[in-house]
Amino acid sequence: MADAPLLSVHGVSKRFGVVQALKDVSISAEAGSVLGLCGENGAGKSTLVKILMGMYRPDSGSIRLDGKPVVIRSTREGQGLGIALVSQELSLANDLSVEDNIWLGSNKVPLLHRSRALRRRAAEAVATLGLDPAILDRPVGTLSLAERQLVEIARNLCRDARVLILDEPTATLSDRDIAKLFAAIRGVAAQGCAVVYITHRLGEVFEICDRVAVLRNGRVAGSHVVADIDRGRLIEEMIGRQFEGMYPPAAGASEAAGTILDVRGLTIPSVAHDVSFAVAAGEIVGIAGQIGSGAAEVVRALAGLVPEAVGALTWRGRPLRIGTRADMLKAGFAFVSEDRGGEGMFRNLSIRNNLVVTAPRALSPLWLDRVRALDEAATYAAERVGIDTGRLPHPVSQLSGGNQQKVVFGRFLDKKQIAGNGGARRMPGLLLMNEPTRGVDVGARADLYRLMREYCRNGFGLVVYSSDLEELLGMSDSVITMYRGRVSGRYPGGEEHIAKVLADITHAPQSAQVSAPATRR
Amino acid sequence: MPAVSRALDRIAPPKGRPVWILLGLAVALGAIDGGSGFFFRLSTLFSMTQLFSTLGLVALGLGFVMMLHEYDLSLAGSFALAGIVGVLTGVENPLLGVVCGVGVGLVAGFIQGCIVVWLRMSAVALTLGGLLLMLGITYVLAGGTTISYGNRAVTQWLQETMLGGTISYRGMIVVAVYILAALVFAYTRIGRDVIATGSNRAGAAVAGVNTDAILIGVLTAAGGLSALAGVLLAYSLGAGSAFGLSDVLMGATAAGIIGGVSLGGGKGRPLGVAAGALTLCLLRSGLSGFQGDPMLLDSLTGLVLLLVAISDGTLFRQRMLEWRRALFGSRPS
Amino acid sequence: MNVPGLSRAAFGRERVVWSVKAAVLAVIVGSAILTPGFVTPASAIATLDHAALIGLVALGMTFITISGNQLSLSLGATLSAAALVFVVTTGLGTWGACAAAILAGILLQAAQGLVIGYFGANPIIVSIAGLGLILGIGTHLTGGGEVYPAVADALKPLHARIGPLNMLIVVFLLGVVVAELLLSRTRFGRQLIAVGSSARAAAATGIRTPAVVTATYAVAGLFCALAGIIAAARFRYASLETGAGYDYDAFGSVLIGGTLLRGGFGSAWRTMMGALLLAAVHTILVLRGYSQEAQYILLGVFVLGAVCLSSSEER
Repeated sequence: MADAPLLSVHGVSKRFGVVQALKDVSISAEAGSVLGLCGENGAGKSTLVKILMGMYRPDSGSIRLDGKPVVIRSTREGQGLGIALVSQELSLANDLSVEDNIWLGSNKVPLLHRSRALRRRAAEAVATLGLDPAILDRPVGTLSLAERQLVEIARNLCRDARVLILDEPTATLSDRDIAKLFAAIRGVAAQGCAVVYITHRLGEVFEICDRVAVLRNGRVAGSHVVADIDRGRLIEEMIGRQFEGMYPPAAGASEAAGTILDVRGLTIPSVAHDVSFAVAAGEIVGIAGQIGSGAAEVVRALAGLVPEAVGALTWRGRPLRIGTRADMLKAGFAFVSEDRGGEGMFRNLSIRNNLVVTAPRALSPLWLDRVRALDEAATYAAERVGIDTGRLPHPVSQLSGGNQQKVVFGRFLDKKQIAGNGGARRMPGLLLMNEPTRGVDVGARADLYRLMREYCRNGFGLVVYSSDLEELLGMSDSVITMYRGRVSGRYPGGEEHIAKVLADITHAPQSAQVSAPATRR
Repeated sequence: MPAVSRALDRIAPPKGRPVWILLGLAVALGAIDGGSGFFFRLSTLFSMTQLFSTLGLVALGLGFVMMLHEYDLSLAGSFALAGIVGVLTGVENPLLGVVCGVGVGLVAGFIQGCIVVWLRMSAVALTLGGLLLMLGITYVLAGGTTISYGNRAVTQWLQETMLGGTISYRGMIVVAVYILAALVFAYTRIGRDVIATGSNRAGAAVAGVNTDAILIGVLTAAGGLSALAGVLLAYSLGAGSAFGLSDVLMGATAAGIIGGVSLGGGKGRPLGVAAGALTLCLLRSGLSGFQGDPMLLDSLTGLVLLLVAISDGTLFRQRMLEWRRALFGSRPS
Repeated sequence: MNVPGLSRAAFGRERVVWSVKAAVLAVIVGSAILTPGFVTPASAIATLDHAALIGLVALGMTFITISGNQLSLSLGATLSAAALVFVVTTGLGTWGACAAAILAGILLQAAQGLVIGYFGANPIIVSIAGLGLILGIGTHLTGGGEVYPAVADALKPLHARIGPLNMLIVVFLLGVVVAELLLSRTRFGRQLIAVGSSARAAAATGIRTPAVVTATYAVAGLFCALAGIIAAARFRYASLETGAGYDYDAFGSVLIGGTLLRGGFGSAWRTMMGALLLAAVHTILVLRGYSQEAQYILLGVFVLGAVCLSSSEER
């Protein structure tokens, strides 16, 4: 069939300030087929999607529907043209029924009673996705996450969507739900839609996609018919280039070697099972895993932010109960959240106040603050992390992402602790980090890695979760991999193992589909 | 019929919690009464419906506002001001008075709604100003005293009872308004959009709902409903004044909360609010039926509100988990 | 990602708001100066006095608002309760009664704060519940009428003056200083502001939020109790009506002063300015001979406008 593809993108580029998010990207999605879109974090997938949805305009290049160029100026226009996105945050109203949600906000619905024809269409859409039409009357709040996702897809179908973009839809689904989702996707494709399936999970690409495009650093690294390639090739294209040596080496045989944290049987119901590992003083332990693998939750659980977590911890030789965040902080566990804006920063407060928020009681005996002592501590911390001390009184929201993250890191720098002032009475602790360099530019990243090593030199243990595999392997001394809530492998740090690690986090262990490790270019 | 049950979903709360509370309370009061006849007197039922006639509409309006995750302090102001306006303008033509009074409430709600949307303010802050302003105007118009309503016939008519003496005509009007509101909510797009806006405002906007219009509309309607309640009360008392307002706001809030509207937005339905309001009125009339201290009603209301607020709290589940663990020890799954 | 157009629009609106604020302030200052009798010690004292009682409650409200809990509708009732406790315990001597009243105020509010902080319950609803409980139990205990002090002499020390300033003004001014110290110079204050700025970030950084919120409400209760004691001393009796209506005025003062409803920003100075501004407008209206009714309306308009202007940076 030599028709023009339903959706095609030609030479699209997009730059944000100094960052070139997309460069000369061309892909196409045919009607009735599923195009997989793969790439690591920061490869440009979400920018491309936002351009397709009309949230951004491309700097150059064009978008075509059925071969005819279109300009998408807003999300409404995009939706009007038939381009629909189902993202991780569903836009459903839990208190309304499925049918009400499907037709919510659509201008096809008259003010008064809804016609039978609309209900029929909803029933058809729902049936295409493999759901029982009786579900139309159930409140969305009573549905499982998987079912809700299908309802969101049904809504888009009823708005005459022709291009359906699914963003990591299986991140939180069970195997059975995934099978149902795939059946639904096939149904949608059979109706003539083009489906763009964004995923990290390579196994799924081979299950559901007809074609696949790999993005890396804003460019298309490869575009293939799925039947023509194998897993190894995909991995190769996703990883691509060499490490840059931006990761400072480990201190070697550290002075205070010896396990400071032993985790046994950490379990979070429905999220992670029986996770066990050990951290030595001065060691960086990295946890590799995709969204939904439970890795980030394990780190949060150690920080005391997951009340349902259970497990046995041995900290500095003594048993420690998993308590609240305040308890864990008292024990010495510092935490850097993956959600800097919502959990890391106090947006409207000054940099100085953000830095001293975890200041120990010693600096505020009885009631009154020792203001000068606090200011000194803040100045010290700012200097160590590389923030202009003149800006201390300014609101932290004025800083760049990288500098904000430095502020978060700076919180745990205590003069007595780091400089080892005359018999530091504070023992080094544990630094827990989720996605520490998310949204941070390359220059600031290097600073952060250096900071981490400084913590190590002072006897801290570090536990890091990052979805950026290169970074994780580059900075960690040892790595454990997680898949669907269980630890699937353990490796020493360093780039040699990246292919195995990637394989580990993308499929179940001992799966028949595991292919031979990729050969390096 | 499936269509009716679907509509019912939109006007009645999901698990009928408020109705169970109401029934439970009725049973409890009946049991305490123990057959001495106090509770099941007609006068108790009548005083309950009378209270409901005053409280019910304000509760309905406030309930809609709370469904959207907001709070409207100015409803007490609309209530008072509309009463005075109605009394002043409705002597010859009571319907004119009603229109003027309700109009005042609608206008007040509309203006406040527009400002909230335009300045992206929280409704709580703005409606504080609205409350003070309307109370000020009320004070001016009433000159600090009560104004008597000249039209005796209307007053008497409103106080006449029907249905075997259980409910006054005023009460029937309120019930009719409730039914109308329930129908609008159930059968038109408006109801669905309001629920969606309360349930997930960002998501509803993405789906295409005009959430700004919904917010303005709800604030307008709430003002109008409170105003209607104020006019009806003033007419049936034969006088309008500016006293006794904090009761109204408190009772209306309690009615909504008991009725299942959580300030988390989206939950709660008109029938639920009705059940909540009835519960409150039953409490009050039941208690005054005994020799019990009527002021204990405030305490009981407060207690019920407190318990509901706790169980609706964001950390409630977590605390329950912690207590269960502390008592029974943790069990690895 | 930054969308330049959007921030330009916000900047434009900011300019408008700022210029309107400046204009309003100019009008007020102008009419103040031009009003005969305003710039005199007597009217200054009167203004301060009017501001002080509301201001004390407003100081308590300030803590609650900065902590992100919006407002409390039970502060007036707490004032009344503390006043009643004071009057009833005058047998313990002046300071004994004061201590009892302060304790009562603290406990009544701290209990609400505990529920709010520990369960994450909605602060407005809990305050309404508190209001109901205080009024209900209070009416039951007092029969709803006025209560006169057992030992009238105990009130005497509270009628003292320091120069031209009566006790109320002195306590208010001291209260502003103490409140400001608490907010800006103590660990508690820093944590309170942090909780108001971002409750999630506060939890993630290990701040014990339930304790902070409970303490916040306890402080509010303290200020209400102070107001209650002074009111009881001034009127020489106490009832549940003593504090009625203060909640709205206090909340208005807080908002007019520029403390943000969403929390994390504000100060005691601001609230003091807000209370003074309100009182000044009231004094101007009185001196210019406006009738009671006109005063009501104009004040209402003023509060409405001021609140709009102050709160437009909310979202």
